[in-house]
Amino acid sequence: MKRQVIAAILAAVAMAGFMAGSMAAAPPYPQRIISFVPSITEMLFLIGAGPRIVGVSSFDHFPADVEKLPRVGALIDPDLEKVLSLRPDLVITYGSQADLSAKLATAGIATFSYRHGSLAGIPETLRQMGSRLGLDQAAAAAASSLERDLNGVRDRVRGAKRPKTLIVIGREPRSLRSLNVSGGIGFLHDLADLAGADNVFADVARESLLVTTETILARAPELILELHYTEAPSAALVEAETKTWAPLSAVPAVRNNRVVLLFGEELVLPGPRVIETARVFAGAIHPELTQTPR
Amino acid sequence: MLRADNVSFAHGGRRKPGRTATPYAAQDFPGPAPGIHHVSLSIERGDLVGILGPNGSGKTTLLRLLGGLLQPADGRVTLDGTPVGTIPGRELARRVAMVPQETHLAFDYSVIEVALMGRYPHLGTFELEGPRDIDIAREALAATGTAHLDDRSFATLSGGEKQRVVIASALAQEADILLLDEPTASLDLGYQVEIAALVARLNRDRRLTVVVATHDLGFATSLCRSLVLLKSGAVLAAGPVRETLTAGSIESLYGVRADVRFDDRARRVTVVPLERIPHA
Amino acid sequence: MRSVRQRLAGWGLVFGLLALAAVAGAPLIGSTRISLARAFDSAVPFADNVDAQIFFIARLPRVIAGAVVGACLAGAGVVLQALLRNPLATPFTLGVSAGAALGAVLAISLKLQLSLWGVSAVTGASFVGSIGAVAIVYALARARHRGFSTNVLLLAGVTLNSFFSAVILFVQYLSNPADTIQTLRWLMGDLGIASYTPILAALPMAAFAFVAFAWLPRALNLLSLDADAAASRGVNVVRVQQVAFFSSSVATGAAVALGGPIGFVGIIVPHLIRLLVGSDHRVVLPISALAGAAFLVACDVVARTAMAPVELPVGIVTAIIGGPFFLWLLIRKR
Repeated sequence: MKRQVIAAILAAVAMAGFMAGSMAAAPPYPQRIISFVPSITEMLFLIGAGPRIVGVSSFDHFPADVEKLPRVGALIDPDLEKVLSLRPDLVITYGSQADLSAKLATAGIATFSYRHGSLAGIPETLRQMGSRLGLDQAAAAAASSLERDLNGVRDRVRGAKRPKTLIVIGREPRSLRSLNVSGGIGFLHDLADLAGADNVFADVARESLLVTTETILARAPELILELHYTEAPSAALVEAETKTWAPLSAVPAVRNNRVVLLFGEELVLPGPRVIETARVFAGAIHPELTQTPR
Repeated sequence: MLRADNVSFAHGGRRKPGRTATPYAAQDFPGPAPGIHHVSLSIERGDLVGILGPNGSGKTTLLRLLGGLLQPADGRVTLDGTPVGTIPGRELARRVAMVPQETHLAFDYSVIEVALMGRYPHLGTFELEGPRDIDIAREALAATGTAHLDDRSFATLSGGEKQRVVIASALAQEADILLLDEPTASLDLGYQVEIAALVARLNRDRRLTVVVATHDLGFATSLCRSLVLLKSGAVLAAGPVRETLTAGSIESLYGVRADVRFDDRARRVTVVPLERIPHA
Repeated sequence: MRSVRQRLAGWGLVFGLLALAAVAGAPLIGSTRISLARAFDSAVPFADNVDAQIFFIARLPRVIAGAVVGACLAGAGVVLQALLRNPLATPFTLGVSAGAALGAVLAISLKLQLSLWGVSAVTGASFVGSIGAVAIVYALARARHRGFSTNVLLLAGVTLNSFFSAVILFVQYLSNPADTIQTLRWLMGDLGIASYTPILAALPMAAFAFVAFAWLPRALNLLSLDADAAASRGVNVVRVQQVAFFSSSVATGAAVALGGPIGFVGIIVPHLIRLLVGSDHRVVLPISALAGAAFLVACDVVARTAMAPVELPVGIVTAIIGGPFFLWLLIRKR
């Protein structure tokens, strides 16, 4: 009996030691992070994980620190070799990069798969990143701050008449062909909604859709927000591009000169800078209410 | 009336543009592309001439030069004294018609449509075929024994029928000179005899001047009255069949020792090949 | 067998009416119900008349563009098939659309902020690109012989297609995702020009091409035999081939500039028409043009109404109809 008890205790101690050893061997949180998703890169910097980033996508430009970091490709051309050579312990991928995620899993590298969607998903992703990286407090603070700021924008425009708004996310330059607009899903729709506008295509359950000029004439938006993901060109070119809408004068937005072109690469990023986008939207949608310096 | 004077031609070098757009590319011939070297010959009305030679001797090239499809680099080809290169295409087509070796139709035409294509030189750009044109086309089909096929699709015909329809199309041009390139190349014996008989009849009844390029000795001897023996682009011998086709000329042309005699019953020269002479 | 005149008159009537019905009827169809009375009511100022703007700006230009593009692509398809003696040739076989695509891609990626005579940079650049491709292919086809070899032409065109496609992919690699999406949309074809200016710009080119198309058909018939047979019947083969090449390229370039590279029209329509009317190009060419116009206008109606308010790229509609049609043709031939 005594021998069995000693054997059991020895076994238990051995197991505990083994488990403790294995836990001590692995770091508790990822320390070498690669991010293919620019908006998440921004989040990481925001919550203080910037120093842990060892590689970013080809399209990362913010904050300025990323310019020094190695590039690992992007959505359609991820460079697996480069990724592996950087010895990451966490790779943040797009949800559609299933192939990449599978290969990384085979290599024993943890991944976080991101599918971007709504506005509410942004603070949520911040919190997820926080818990994944052991920066819960910073993440919670950043998320709450973002939510607070967004609510602030919502409050500021509350009660104001909500214009019927067309959100154009792409079209052929100097032409009304290939009009790509935001449907009723996605963070751009959410932002416009927050900033006090009614998306004329809110009934379409898609993030983006091609529409005809006929549909636009039929839905008669009172405001057209056109998003461009580059720096603003000269005023003359902006005006020329705005004038492209002139033939559709029966659209209230055109008739009343409420076609607003917005520029900036942050417009396409569902990251922490959405608060700036929200303010810009609010300024464009309710110029009478907001005095945002631009 | 159709003469070649010291005509020379070489593929691949600088060429004067001819009427044709697709010259033989080098890959059409296994060895060096054939040229024509200082060939002179004269064809009179009503002649039935065979251009005889092995593959690659330049028969087709010579035929195309005679037909004005290629322009010679040296020398000239004249029709009744006028260089063929200066005769406008349609006008020349009303005098000289050519039947190529094989006809591959890219699209599906009916037999009567193919025959009517021969009327092109007689019609203006926007002129539609009239009743007379249709009659001539039908006559041409009848002359080649294909009138009963007129509504059939060309693609569904047998090899012999196709060849006869193409000849009919050439006849519809109402030309007085007919150039035939290897008309029996892909036909079996029955059709060969048929075509030979047809050509002989056309020559006799319509006084059609016929020039046939062939490597088939039997066909040449059964049909032609005179021969031009072509070896490596140059004329080896020319003249009536009995004079040109000798054991010596055949040896020189084909590298084959043969027994050549005149068969009194068939009234023609017969050639029986005996053995191959090894190359020197 | 009925004469050419009879067949042309008969089929011309059928397809002429079809094309007319398409062009007249398509502007009446759309995802929105409009009041024609109000649209044509001159008392209402045009600037405020939604119905009128839907009819005259949203619908009518794309119907007319569809007719022009459809006629050009179908006609170019017929001519090119005859030139290359291959029923599988399309207006895009010789690299014209690849050149146009490269022009458009560059215009989008370089953000060319130009607009010439009311024509956007993308439209203009795509036309310039198609002309460039034509020039290169022609130069290559001429270089080897002082004649004009259709074999070399085909090789040059196919090579150019591959090369330009690679360059396009390369440019897309370097450009940002938003531009890539824009390029992809253009590549799927879009007739939604909402303006008559591009049509007016394309019309001279289309007219020039169709004048040549009027001259070609009989010669194309003879070319179907082979070059020698055609030449020995008095056809100036080189000239016919040059005219065929240039006219079909110009027609294709104009069509692609107007609506992007819309596939299948240039091959379905000629095939279908040949099945119906025979192979005589004097009938096939004009009837194909009419049928092409009707077909594309119809496809565009489907594109803009089938999934309203979402607009389908018209190139997808022609592909959805074209693919099964081809399979059916193949099965039928067995």
